[in-house]
Amino acid sequence: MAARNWRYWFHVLHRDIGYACVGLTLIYAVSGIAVNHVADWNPSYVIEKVRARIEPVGGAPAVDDALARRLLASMELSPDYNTLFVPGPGQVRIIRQNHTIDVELASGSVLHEIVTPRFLLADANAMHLNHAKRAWTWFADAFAVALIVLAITGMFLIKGKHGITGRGAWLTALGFIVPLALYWWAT
Amino acid sequence: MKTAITLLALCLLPLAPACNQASETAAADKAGADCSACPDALAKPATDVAADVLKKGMFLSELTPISKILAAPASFEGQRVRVVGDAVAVCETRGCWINLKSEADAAKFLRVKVEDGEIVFPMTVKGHPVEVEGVVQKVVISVEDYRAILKARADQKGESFDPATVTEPKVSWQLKGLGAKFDA
Repeated sequence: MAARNWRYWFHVLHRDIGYACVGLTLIYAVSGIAVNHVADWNPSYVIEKVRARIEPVGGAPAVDDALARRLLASMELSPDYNTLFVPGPGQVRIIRQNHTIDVELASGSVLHEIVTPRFLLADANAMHLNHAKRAWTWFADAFAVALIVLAITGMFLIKGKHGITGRGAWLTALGFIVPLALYWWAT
Repeated sequence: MKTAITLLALCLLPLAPACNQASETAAADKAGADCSACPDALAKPATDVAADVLKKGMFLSELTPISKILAAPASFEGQRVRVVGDAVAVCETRGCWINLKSEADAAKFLRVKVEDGEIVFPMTVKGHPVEVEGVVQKVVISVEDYRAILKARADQKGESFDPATVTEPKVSWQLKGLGAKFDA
């Protein structure tokens, strides 16, 4: 068997690591777009806010389990909840799983917030932003190293005028210059 | 080949200042405006804490009641404590703060602030007990900044706000979270 040169091994590395990285690359790319626009939307949760009105509660009732059950019943909701809080005078916050219900007792005004994790995207963002820590940190580091290997081996796959000695050099140069110039211009 | 290597070297040159700039930006972020979208992003901790007190993780075994801290926060300033309480509010944007309800008074809470990204509180943690270890800090918001915050809140609610009503810096207390445990 003839000896393989370095370019052959670069091909092999680029091909096989490339296949292995497709999954997480796509996950990170989609999540990247999502979290890039965090100023415009919540990339991980759908937050729905619904206003309603119930019968006002007069006087200054004690904020306790009985009041919570009474308020939930008036909203035709089941009596289960996680905790009660008083955000301000005459206000009650009832917190259920992914539901926060703020009630203004005197007016009967209700603000019902429902939080739903975005399907798949919430997990993709948690992966991308390394919420898991621990083992995921090492795995994500290994993925980053794999991307470095892909970038370096990718530059030397082809010989000739389409390779790194020809147009490849110009495109690689643009790959550095364009983002850096844009970054300096934008900041 | 020589041309290509020269070109690549030329392209890599500008990376040096870019790296400096990036770390300066990161330092500025760490200094204060950790969560630019949060209403109280301008709050600046006024408590200096020794580096060894700021070790990340959970090491204390004894819990300090939140009510005890809220009753006399100055006596806990700079101290490392471990607390537990129900989360009654969470940072929607980055999960970088939570409010933990006092076990003794349903109208009082302790704000827990963490470094962006180091600990992330999911929105689903609201209503669940959260255990946090951290350092009690005094937080001061200048008159100008506090006016800006209140104006932003009023604008959000469609209400009017008179800046003349704020005449003194806003002083509050928070726990700088260094470790947290929760199920959500």
